[in-house]
Amino acid sequence: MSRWSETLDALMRERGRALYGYAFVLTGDAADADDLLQDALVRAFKRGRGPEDVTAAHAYVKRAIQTAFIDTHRRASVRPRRDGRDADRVLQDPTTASATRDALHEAVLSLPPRERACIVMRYFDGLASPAIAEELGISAGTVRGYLTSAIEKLRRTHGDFGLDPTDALEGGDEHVVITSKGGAR
Amino acid sequence: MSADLEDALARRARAGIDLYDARSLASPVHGRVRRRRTVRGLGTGAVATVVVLAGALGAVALGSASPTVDPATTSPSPSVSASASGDLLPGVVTAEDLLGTVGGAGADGGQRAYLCTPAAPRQCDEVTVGQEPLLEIVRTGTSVEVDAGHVAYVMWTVRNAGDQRIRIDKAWETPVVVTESDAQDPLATLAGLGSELPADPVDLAPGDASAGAGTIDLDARPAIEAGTAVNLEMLVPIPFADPTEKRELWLRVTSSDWVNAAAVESIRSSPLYAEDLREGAVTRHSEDYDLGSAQTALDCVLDDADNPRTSSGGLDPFAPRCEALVVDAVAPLLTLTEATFDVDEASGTLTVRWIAQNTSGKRLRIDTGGASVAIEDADDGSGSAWTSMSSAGSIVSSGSLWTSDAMRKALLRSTSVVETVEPWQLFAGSATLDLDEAGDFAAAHTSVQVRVASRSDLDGSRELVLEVPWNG
Repeated sequence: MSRWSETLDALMRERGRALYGYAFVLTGDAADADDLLQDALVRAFKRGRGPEDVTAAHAYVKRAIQTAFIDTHRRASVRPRRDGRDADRVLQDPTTASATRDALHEAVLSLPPRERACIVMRYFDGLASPAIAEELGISAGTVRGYLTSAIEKLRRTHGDFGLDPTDALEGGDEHVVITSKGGAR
Repeated sequence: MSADLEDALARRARAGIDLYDARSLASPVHGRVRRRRTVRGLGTGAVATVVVLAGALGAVALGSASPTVDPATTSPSPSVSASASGDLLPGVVTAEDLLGTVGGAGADGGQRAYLCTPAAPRQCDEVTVGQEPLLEIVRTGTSVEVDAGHVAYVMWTVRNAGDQRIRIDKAWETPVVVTESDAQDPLATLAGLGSELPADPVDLAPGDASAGAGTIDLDARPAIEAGTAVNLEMLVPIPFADPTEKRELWLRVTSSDWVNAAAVESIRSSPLYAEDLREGAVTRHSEDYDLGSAQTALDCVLDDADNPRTSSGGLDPFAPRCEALVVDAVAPLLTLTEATFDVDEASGTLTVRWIAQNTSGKRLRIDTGGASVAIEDADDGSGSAWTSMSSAGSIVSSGSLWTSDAMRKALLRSTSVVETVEPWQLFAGSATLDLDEAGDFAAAHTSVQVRVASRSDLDGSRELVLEVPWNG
């Protein structure tokens, strides 16, 4: 068996669940998550010897998931459908924590892909805007713009869930951390 | 403060993890990676293949190994193969294997095939072989370009869709072009092929693909104009293991995907930018709202800081007053082929979904991701209209978007995805807007505004926006 094939198998065995979960957070759909993870894996292993080891592969594939997610939506024939509704027209009145979380995730899924990716990287990966910018290959100012717009939309379309724009822009870690023991990130 | 959001995302990830099925993912990923590596490793040392189909009754020449036929057109094109071996290997599917599974024409499952005598003209029986399709056409590896409608340059990619290695003869992969009004008859095509088959056996592992290209002379057939929907079928011979076997087995590989034939010159030309369209543009006046076949546009000159696309802080949409133009008086560059209006009474929203087509015959560099839906009462001249716009890509006016005899409003957004749209290519979008603001949208004029990219697109001081009316 070739080396890339062995690394790929090990990655899917050890980190596949976490990577799939990440893709699922971004897409909100099992089939789309499946496609997204497949695309990312192909990007990572399609040339050369492939990533050196499982940790390197994890980092590479995770970044590929982020960029493939944005690229896929860029290519999609149906462009992002933004939610133009205002909060007062949305019958969203969560009375339980579970309902709140469901409503929040649905709200995240209604965001355009770049804004959604930035929100996931900020609040799921815990990254600060400069680290998000580095991962996505765009400027930190652009990331802040996406985060600001996303937070504003979430608050406008789905009510105030205690989201703090300042925290969105200023918080988070400056460095990407890949856990090595099957962590969810 | 944002703990709820973090919890929501983490909980969603756990839900996704529960759905993970490594086994269902492993096989397709390995296959796709192998194919990408295979294709990348090929291309050099490729074999030149020339296929000339002279219509149903015409003769066909392939390369130099068929001396009995005049090659009416020569257009050597690279042919990519996955692997080539002169020796039959154990475990490789050959014609004998497939004939052991043969069913009659129209049998369920399997793949359509022709079992032919070698004499010219061939006599063929249609059969079905195997239990599942053995080969499939890869849509993304297929294209048809036409030159003045009479010569088609075809590229194809055929993939092993089965779970065993299969041997094909690449030298005689033969494309069959089908249009809605005209279909080549595969049997007639086979009958017209030369009698001496040059051999180029190639083994395809599961998932491996074989790409090729050829030229089809359409002189004896109706011309295929650029933009015509074309379905490409492939006739792929499967060699016999027995070298003394004189019969031929051809798989007929079909696809449900149609591609639009593109004009050769348009493929090779650079796309049109805003600067190109402004040349020769003429002023349009408010009484010319409906110009039928012309392509109208809005030329917006603005302070760079007001452009939400290029301004660092400008995320809100902006609707400047722009000079109304006609950029093509003869034919529309873009045409809406479909628009649907979905009302959601519960949420009080109207969602407009649209599909547009590049009908210019040329490549266009346009902002497909920043397009907007415009709804207006174009007949209203009261001047007391209000205008509502959203970053979601909609601009609605209770009256007309005209602000003077030669000025109209265009919506500029921060969202931007610039692409080169090929001739006849479709692109789509949607916008959701407030139902109350949409008013009597059924009686209003609806159009889609599509920005044309500039050669220096980072400069936001001037924008050109095409207006694409919905006439449904």
